[in-house]
Amino acid sequence: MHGNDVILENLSMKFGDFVAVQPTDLKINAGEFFSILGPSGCGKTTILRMISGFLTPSQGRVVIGEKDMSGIRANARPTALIFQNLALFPLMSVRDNIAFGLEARGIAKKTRLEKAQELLSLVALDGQGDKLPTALSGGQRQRVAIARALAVEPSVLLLDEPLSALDLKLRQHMRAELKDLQRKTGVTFIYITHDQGEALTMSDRVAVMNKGVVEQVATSDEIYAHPKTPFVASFVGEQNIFKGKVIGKEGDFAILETSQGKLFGQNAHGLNEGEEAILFVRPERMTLEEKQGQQNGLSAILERRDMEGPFVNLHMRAGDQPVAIHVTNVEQTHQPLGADQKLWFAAQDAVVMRPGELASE
Amino acid sequence: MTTTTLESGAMKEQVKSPIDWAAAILNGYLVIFFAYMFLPMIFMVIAAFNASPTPSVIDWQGFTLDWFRALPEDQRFIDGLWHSLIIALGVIVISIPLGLAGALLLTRLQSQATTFLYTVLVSPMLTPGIVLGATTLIFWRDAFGVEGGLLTATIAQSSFIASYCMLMFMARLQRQDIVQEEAALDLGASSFFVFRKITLPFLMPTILTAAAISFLQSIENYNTTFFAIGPSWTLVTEIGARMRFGISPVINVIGVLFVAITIIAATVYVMARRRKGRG
Amino acid sequence: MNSLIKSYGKGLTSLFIGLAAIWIVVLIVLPQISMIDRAFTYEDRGGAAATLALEIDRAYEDVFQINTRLVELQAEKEDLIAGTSTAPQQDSASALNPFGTPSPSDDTTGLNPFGTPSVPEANDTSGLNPFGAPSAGNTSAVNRSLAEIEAEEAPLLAQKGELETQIAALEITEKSTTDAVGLDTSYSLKNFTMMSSVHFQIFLATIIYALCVTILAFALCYPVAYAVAMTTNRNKLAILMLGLLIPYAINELLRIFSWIMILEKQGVLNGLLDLLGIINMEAGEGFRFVASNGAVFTVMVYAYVLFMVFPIYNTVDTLDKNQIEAAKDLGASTWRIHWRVVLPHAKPGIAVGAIMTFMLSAGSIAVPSAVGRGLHPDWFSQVIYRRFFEADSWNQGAAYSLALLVACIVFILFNMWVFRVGIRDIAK
Repeated sequence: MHGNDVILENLSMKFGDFVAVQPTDLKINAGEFFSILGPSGCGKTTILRMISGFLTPSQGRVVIGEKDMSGIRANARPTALIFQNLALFPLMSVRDNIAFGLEARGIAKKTRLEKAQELLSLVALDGQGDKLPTALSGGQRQRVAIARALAVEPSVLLLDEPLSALDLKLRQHMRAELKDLQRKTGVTFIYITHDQGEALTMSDRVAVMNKGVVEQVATSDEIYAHPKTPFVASFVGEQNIFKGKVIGKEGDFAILETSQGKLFGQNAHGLNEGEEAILFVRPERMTLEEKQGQQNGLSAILERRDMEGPFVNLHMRAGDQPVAIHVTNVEQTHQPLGADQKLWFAAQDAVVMRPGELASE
Repeated sequence: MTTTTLESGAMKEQVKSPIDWAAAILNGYLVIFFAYMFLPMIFMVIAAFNASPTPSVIDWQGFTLDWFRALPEDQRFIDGLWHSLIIALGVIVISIPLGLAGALLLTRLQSQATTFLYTVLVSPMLTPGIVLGATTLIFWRDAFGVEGGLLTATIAQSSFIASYCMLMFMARLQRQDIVQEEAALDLGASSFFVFRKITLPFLMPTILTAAAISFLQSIENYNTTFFAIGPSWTLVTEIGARMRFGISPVINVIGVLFVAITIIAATVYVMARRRKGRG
Repeated sequence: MNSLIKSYGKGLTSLFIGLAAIWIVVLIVLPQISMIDRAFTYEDRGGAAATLALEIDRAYEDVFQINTRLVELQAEKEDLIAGTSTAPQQDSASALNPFGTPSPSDDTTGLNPFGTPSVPEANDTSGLNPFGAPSAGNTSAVNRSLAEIEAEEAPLLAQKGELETQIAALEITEKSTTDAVGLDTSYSLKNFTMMSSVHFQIFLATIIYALCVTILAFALCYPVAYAVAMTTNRNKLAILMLGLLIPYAINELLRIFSWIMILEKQGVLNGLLDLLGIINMEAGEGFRFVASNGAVFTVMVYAYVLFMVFPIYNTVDTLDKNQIEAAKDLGASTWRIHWRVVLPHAKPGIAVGAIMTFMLSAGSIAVPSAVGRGLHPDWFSQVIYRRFFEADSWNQGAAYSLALLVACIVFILFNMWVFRVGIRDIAK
């Protein structure tokens, strides 16, 4: 098995007046684990269905492995899709499910059963081949669906939120399994999810989508540390948000006048003096004790303390502004509720952007 | 499935109110209603064992099994039974594909015409049986010179039994997960292969049920057959003819057989359903 | 169309469309068109042919009258010989329908009254009113000697023989005339406008009777459907369902037949009256319930009530039982609970049940012919049958069928309007 690259060229989709996907250019590399992350209704599933061939794009084209897919039906594309509800065939045994794609291609029974056996081993389901899908656990069914898709040796595997039906523990376990399978097979994985945890942990690269627009494509680290838009900043991970106006610039940094005084942050959008701006700073980047190079300081009142085991969430209020910080169990304060606290963060840990749409909680 | 039944069962239990006068009246009424339903049939069964040549319960002339012996010797009844079976098989062969085609079209057709098409296809169910029989008879004689007989009876019955089949298939298809068809297509299957391997196996239980129901509907049909069959006859039209000209306890014997088969079949059916509901 | 090809591919889509088209065209639309075409085509058999036909009809009628009288005389003779009953027959338990539908051993035209098989159980077959008045009161109440009876019999037999030869001759002439002249056909409304007033009355009566049956069936079965739907005990529910399913599954004709044993003169009902001392069966007393309006009603409701029970049960069963509790809790009376909560919910089921019951009873041929025994005033379906197979007037038969169909359609539309349901709610 091998992966192919997938190129979307000016791809867009309209349903009547509703634009589900704005014209998009995207290159997904061969053998990459690529996630498309976004809230429901952002257009990520539409993109997936256009790649798989179930939807014909209104405009633009899909190219897989240098081959234009226009006019090629779903059953002739080198892609395989893992459906959200898995869509296993309930009347067929696990083995027949896995061998289905080969049967459809008219491959001899002996060959396809051998292949099915091989795949059963790959997904660690030896000995389960004769069961019906309903007799398996959720995680096992998941693996059957993957084996069924891999049986046809696709160069691109499309996964439509396949873990959403599983419980939390299993979901976390399956992340590792999926990543492992992807490495073993070398097939290009395109993974659709609204769960940032899934996207960040598994992916080589992530595309964040909102309202039919791909807002940023980058590695997980990059997306988390250097979001390009307010939406990406607020959708991925938690943020403390301060609104204000740019009153000065210092190299790559901007100085913001806010209700909490002057705050410094990276000037991501290259804003000029006088412009409206918002500043994002992650809760874990804030500290209770001043460290070297932390230009920003503000005072707040401790309102609530949520103990989560290894770390603690402190909910504070700075004036009328709620502020959350995450500290490790070791670093946490033992101040009583209602006590005054000083908070600190560095300018390079804060990002200043032009105001824009934020992800709604 | 199981849990919902249990839940609704539990809910029903809660609603149960103490026995009041309204419930008592209702129960009394139920007894009368079921007496109305069953007493005539009990009389019919009793009269089958009466030696009196006129089916009667009052005029008891001694217990006999003669009428049971007379039935297999009655050639017209035996022939009628064969005709009924031939027609029923024909009806199954015609109705299942037609009903299936109609259901498959209607469930996937996204068009304004769907409701109109639906109305046309179910209209035979809402047409009086004698009208179906008469129209079929007229059409086949006028268009092809085919006189009334087993063929016209088969066709006339099929026209409405296919509608019943269609409704059964539609009910099943509405529960189908279309994603499965997509999954199969995505794995490289052709539309025909998907139909053969996914849709048809999914429909198979319904096809069997529909065949059984078509068979029963056909065997039991009187009005349509009576008009369409011309000089030939089926078991049921023969019973009808005998009822008008010379009733005899042999009809009671057929009645006894029908009642016995029905009671066994219905009991098995209800038991099976209850077990399923429980398990 | 695209959605179909997408689902099934081109080959299968065209196969399905082909099958559905055959169904619609060959099994549904063309037969209806043939019927409508015939309904509006008037066959003028020409003056000479018409006269001939009339003459033949008259001859048949005479033969029938004679035959009736002969049967009476025969019965009288038997009584004399047996010497048991000197009392005149008030009633007859069974009756021959002279112009009845073809009998098993009959030829298909069914026109020949002599072809009817002798009725084995009709021990005291007595006078029949050929025109089917419910009470066949025959008053040949005078005791006569055997000789007298035979004296009357002889000329009648001779006359009958004469008439039969005459009919044979006339029929040959008729056939040749028709062959020579042919039928003059033209489109017109005559098949409807020429519907005799008797037939029209029967049509109206049938519709009204069918409506009454429908209403009666609803009144009878609503409490049953409600009770079954409200049953919480699993065992009781299973038994109730069996109680409904078994009669539902048993053939309509046999269920009708079972009533004959109750309604007949020697039937269970008279036996009961005898037991209560109201009548004395030994003395030959007893009502002939068969062929009375009440009997036809009772049996028709019996035969079709289950087509009302199941649709109503199915809808009431889906009602959230908590709604009834809530209504009770709010202080609603039983009547109000039904009127405001249960009945509105059951509307689609009532519509389906009403349509099925009306259609079945308006088009019923088994009940009126079996229970009516040719003595009860005709049901419209019987008229249609005779137009087709006895009067050999298919065009008029088609016109009458169309009238029945239109009546049913009007009733369906009326129900859809009253109960505010769509076609998809009805046919489920």
